[in-house]
Amino acid sequence: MNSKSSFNLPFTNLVEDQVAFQNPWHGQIFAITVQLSVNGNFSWTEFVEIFGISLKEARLKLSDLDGNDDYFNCWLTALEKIIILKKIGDIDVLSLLKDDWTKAYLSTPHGKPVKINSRSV
Amino acid sequence: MTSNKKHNHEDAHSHLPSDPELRVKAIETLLLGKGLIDPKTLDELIDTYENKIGPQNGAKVVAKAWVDENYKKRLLKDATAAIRELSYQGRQGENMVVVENTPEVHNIVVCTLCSCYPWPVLGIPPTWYKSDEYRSRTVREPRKVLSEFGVNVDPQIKVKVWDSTAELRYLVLPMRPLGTEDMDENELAKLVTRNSMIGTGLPENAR
Repeated sequence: MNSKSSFNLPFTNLVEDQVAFQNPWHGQIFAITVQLSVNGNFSWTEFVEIFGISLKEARLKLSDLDGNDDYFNCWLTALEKIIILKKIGDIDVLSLLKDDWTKAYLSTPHGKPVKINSRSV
Repeated sequence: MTSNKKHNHEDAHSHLPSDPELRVKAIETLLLGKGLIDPKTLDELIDTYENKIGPQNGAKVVAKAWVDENYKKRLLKDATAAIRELSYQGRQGENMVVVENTPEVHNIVVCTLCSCYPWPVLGIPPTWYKSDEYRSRTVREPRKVLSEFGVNVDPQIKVKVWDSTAELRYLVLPMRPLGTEDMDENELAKLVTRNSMIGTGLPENAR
């Protein structure tokens, strides 16, 4: 048995391979999910079940997932689902908050801090 | 008449984040409003998994098993407890199983459901571990996947695939490289690669 290189897979990117989170939002949803689970809002097993379904559904639509943005998009969908399932929040509030942030970015001059008005959640 | 709609950088709005980034901001706002997340804890978690926890932990476990036969026995019998002896414990390391490579068996770990992985000893999984290709092909054609990683397993050596779950995480104990008899634990740990503990690689050779 011999080993030439640890990074020979055709679908392996050497640079990405060295970084825990490729995009800041990947790390953010990872940390949010861990914190919610640790604080008892749901078990990790519950999350993994929903995440597994989310991956399976995405695969049917997108074919092979790349393990990067595709993968964390599924994680994000699973997090939204479990937030709704556990009645931590509902889809309408999440949608309104997303709209709030979109409008805030589009109306805040470049270089100024982007803020939204508080909304009852 | 000329238009006054000339692009002016000072008037331009802020860069609009991507759809997923906006959805994350919505979730954050919701959870902060409900007092369910703490920004400081989130930052600490990200920093921990980006900078403090990683394969260097698993490498120390492997090196200790190579030099201490009693530790190796404990590790193979109750991996969670033996790993905890080195103070590596926590989320996704609660139920660990260590599988030993031998001249007869080569082990490789995958998670076919999502990306279950032993965080306390290996950190966050690499992108390829989370890809559909690795997750599906490793079960179907492990020898071919191994060869693409540069690990050519002799036909007479059995390849065992271990499918991680949310409850059970696997770590491969690779074989100690030849010619390392004079090395101490710290020197040996430097030879242990992350992939050798997943099974998709071998330890570095002693120089």
